[in-house]
Amino acid sequence: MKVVRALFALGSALILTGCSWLSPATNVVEEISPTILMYLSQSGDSELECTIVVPAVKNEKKQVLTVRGRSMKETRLKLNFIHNREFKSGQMRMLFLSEDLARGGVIRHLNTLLLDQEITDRLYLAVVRGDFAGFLREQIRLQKNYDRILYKRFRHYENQVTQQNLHFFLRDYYSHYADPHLPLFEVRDEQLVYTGTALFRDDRMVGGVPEDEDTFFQMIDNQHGHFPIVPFPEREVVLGKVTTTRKIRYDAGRGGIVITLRMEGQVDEYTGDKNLGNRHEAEQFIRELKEDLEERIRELVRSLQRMSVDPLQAGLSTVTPFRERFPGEEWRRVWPDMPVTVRVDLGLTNLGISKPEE
Amino acid sequence: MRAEKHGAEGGLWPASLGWLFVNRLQVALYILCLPHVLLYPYMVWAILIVGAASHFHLRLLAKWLQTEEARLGHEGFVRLLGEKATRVLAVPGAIVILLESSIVTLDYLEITHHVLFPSVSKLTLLPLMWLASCFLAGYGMPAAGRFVVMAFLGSIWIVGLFLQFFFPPVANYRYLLPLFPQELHPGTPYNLLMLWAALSGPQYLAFVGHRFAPGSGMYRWLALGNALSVAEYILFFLAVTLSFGSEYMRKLDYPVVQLVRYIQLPFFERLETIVLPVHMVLYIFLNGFFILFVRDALRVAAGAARKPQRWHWLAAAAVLWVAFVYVMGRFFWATETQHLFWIHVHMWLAGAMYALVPSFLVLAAAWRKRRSTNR
Repeated sequence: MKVVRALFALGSALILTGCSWLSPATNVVEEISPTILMYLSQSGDSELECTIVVPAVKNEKKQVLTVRGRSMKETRLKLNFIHNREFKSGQMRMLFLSEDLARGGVIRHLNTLLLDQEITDRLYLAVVRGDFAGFLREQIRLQKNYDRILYKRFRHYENQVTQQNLHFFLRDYYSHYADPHLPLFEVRDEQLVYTGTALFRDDRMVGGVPEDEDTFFQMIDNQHGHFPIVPFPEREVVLGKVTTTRKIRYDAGRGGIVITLRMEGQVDEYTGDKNLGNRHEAEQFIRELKEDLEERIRELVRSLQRMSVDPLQAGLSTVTPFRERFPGEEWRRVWPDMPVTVRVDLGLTNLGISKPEE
Repeated sequence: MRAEKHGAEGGLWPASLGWLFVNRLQVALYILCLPHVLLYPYMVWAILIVGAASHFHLRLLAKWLQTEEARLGHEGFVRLLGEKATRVLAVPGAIVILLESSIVTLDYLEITHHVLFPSVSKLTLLPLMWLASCFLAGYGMPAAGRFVVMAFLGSIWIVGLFLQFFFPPVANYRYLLPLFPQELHPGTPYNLLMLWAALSGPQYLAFVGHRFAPGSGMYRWLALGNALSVAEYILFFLAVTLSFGSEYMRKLDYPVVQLVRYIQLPFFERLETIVLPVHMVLYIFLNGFFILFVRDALRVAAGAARKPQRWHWLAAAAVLWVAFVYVMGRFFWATETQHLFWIHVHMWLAGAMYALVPSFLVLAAAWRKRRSTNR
């Protein structure tokens, strides 16, 4: 009796796990193409151009395919028509958007990603400038696993460069007190170069943080940050092992935002003339560096205000447990003219000399 | 019948099983979709308020379960309402149970269809659920009731998955503000009603009073189950609010499922493929439980309650149940508007039943007691 029961259980498990007789959507690995990378760009007026990297089965070669269509799902259908295997988006991990497309508004393309239950919310998003499709074609020829390498690159960085996924983008998009931002890449001399952060107002890209300022943007964008290298070329110094903690609060008395940045690190490289072993000179050096930093960050925030975007979610600090000071669209209106105070607390644990002179 | 004998050997349920019953019956429908309904961070207070109301309401239920009539089962109801009224009331009772259980089942099937199997009909899983529920019901009420332990163990661990959403970077505690509303939004009474319905379910225990071992302290166990449900609702609601913010949350149909999909373990992704099917244990318990209720209601309505138990009644109840769910799912649950309509129906029905059943029974018992002492 026990044997019969065991056989019955095994049999039903086998039948049920197969399930292919129930479902018209079969997912035999050799018959499908689960892509991990997709690139969307604008072509012509309202046409969408979709480029994907086709994964290889066994001895095939990887290919890069491009099709045009009016909507994202239409391009997927067309991709099925031109390729031997059906495309599945269950493994999609990265979506690159061309700068033109980003400037024209992206929410109508992202909405379908949210609706599609196959696609994970952890999909990395990025804006790319230049001929990315051509670049991909070239790279896939040179390095077979280039799409995977790119994915690893995204996975690796956190709080050092901008790195956003669909979840965070949409959360910032729908919030009254935040504007989304995405990493900005540029195809430059056959290299994919990180060139700062693309800033969005609603779903349209309106500008960017240039690469020189991007580290400072990361410092005030993330509550905790860790930066192995922070160069200050004009002070001839490079700080290393920098950890930052930032606080944003609303000063109700003065009606302005206060950003406090606590920064700790060490001098990794110094090529200037000051004798950092001397206490007075070292103190002066630190003070100057601090003022320099405050000015840079102040200027950065001012540029955000000029664009009327709030990627820092500074608006959220104006909400108290009992009321919203600037409900609805009000924050968007007051933010550009809001006075912002920046305070930097700089602690350098090591000035680059093993033992300071007395 | 073998199963019934087996059940008789199982004996009575200890009072300590009460909290599991209350908890699992309450969370059945709303655990996956409640945060979407609540919309604003300050609704966390509403959960507490309605939870407290339900807490005191359970005192009525406990009081009823302590009465002599509840201990007698069918005989008690006959004593209370009379033979004829009991038989007549069994029919709408069966219909209510069928309605509620089909809405709960179809809602679950709808979610699995939406998230896991979009290419097949949502009723594909129904035969499987039906067979499992019948199997469970075949063991009789005492054993099926004890299965609540499995239903609890099978679905409570999911709470643990949500703890990670209370920490940055996903969680942003400023999304919880403002915690006290300047003005209530117009849908608040509706939300309170919804919450009341979300805490309904324990009323079914009113009909199985004779299955519990006699003894005091029932109320404490019931209240514990209620407190656990409230804690679960608050935890899920906070996790969803912290990670989505209330504006984005409003755009999502099933924010809880969406959040499960966001979990990425180092060795495993797409946890919804595990979490949703495992949830089925809970629904199998509920449906097995409800099929037994329908069986007893049929017997009472047909006037066969005092005759020895026969398997025909169970078969009839099982077939009736699956026919009901199938017809409703096939013809009256085809579009999203109909879905919303049924959720609405459930809200009113379950809310009303939870409010009325225990109070009515307690009143009836008190009235009868007074009449018999006066005589």
